[in-house]
Amino acid sequence: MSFDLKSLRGSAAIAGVATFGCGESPGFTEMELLARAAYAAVADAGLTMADIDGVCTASVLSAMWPMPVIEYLGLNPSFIDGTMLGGSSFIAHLMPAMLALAAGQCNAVLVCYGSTQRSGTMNRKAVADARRQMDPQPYEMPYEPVMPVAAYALAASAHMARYGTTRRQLAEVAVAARAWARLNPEAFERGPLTIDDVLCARMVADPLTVRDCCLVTDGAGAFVLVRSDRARHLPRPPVFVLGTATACWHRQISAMPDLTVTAASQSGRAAYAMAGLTAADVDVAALYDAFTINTLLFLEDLGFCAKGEGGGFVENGAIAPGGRLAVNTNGGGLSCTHPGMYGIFALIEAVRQLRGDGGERQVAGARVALAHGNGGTLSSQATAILGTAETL
Amino acid sequence: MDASRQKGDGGQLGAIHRVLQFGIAEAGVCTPGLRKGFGRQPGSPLAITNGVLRRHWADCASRFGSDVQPHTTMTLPATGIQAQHQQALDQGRFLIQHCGACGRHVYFPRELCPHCGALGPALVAPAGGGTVAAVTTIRRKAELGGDYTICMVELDEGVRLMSRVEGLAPAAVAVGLRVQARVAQANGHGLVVFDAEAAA
Repeated sequence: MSFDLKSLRGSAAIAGVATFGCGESPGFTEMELLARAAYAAVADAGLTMADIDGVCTASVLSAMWPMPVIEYLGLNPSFIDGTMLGGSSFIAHLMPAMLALAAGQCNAVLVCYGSTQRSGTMNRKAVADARRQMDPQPYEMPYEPVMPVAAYALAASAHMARYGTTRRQLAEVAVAARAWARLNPEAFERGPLTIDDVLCARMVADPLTVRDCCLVTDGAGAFVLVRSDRARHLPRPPVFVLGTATACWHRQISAMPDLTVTAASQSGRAAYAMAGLTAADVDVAALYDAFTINTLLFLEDLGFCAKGEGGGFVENGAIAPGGRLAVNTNGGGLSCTHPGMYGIFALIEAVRQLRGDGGERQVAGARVALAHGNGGTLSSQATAILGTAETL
Repeated sequence: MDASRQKGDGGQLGAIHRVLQFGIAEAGVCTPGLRKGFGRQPGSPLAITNGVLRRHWADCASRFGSDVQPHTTMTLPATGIQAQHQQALDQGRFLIQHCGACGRHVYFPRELCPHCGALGPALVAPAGGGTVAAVTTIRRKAELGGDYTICMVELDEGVRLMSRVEGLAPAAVAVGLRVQARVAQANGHGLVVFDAEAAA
């Protein structure tokens, strides 16, 4: 029996989204933030928790995370996906959830995430030390690479050496993200930021300063996916999943085949093929910007410009408000929120733009949005092409 | 009959099952025997004579009805490839792998060739020459030891590894720099580091 993924195009829609506790949420546990976001997303979809019969979730801290989530939320799901691919996970959950919905395995999938990375009792150093034991990387750890920033700095170094990309071009990415964040009341960092501010900030790992690095925040995000026929009868405008795909080539940065080409080139190609669209059709791009180099790599690998031309593409405010392409309109991981695994927030921002909920930062007439998640050290890549009803 | 309780083979029959697990279990030849879960403790190499092996094949064929093939002797590695690689490093030898099936080099060391899927790429000594493919300087407070570099080095054999270049200021380590591998010893363990080629 042959099965074409294109037949899934538009078969499922995101009916509800929510964030909760983004920024600083001292006094909350990860589960509490997750539960609040989950409740709000389900309510946004016009459903109740009793309607949820599918769940997808992942946590940096817990290897068996779906079980406590199911327990805490009182769910009895017929579809469960706890695939953990780092920050791309929640976009990577889309395809298995669509397949489960199409097969009739379940009727409403809740994808949810919560993190207290900023305020939690287990600080990032403790988590990093635990991971050294739980998830050893014996061919890298002896050199003491401060992860993840060292991996992204190495990728930036290779991109600069091969393509002449400059630190100023990297800084353009951070400045554009901040300009969008200034239009988003939910963004954590909303102060003014100039290219010189980025260049003169404290160097962390050359060529990346602290302003080339994402925020460390708390936060939770959730969304609800249902079959499209049902979504049309729910209160909010459905945002249809036109195409989605995931690719993973490696775990360790030293095992990446080419530091300047990510697996987004593969996930993007597959997602566009399923959607029958190209980068030229995309009105809003939400690209996982853990570091400024990410945005350049993903603009290239997802077809917005040729390989090596990402630096030139972003110059002169080209991805800032009023630029040629609206990128990370919420302010991204660089200026809005980054609780550890940002992918779900990229997706939620894409949904908000397609619903017209963007407020001051709304991209006029947005019909097609691309949300892209990155996980590990440029390791796993998941792309989703979303569209309004008129794109079906 | 439970093969693990068979007398008179001096324990070797069980050991052979362990060998098969590493050797040709993929062919499915000894699956019934492997399920018994017997075998000696891993850790020491074991050579098996042809005679013992043939008796084992015959035994398996009669008891499990497997379509077994004659095979020459095999040796159970004392450890996994990671420990073998580290043991060589601790002795001052830097080894990478070469796959006899597809002819490509492999690093980091693995039980399977990631290029073609063949079992057990051989450990081989690289020439040691390479080029810095990427570099970053990790900024660290002076009282904690100061700045240090992390590099990605592409060996002339075509494999890449994380390492560092020693003997140069961080700012002098640039993409394209030719380097030569050396095994440094720290805390009783060998570690691959690099020197600039001219200084090597």
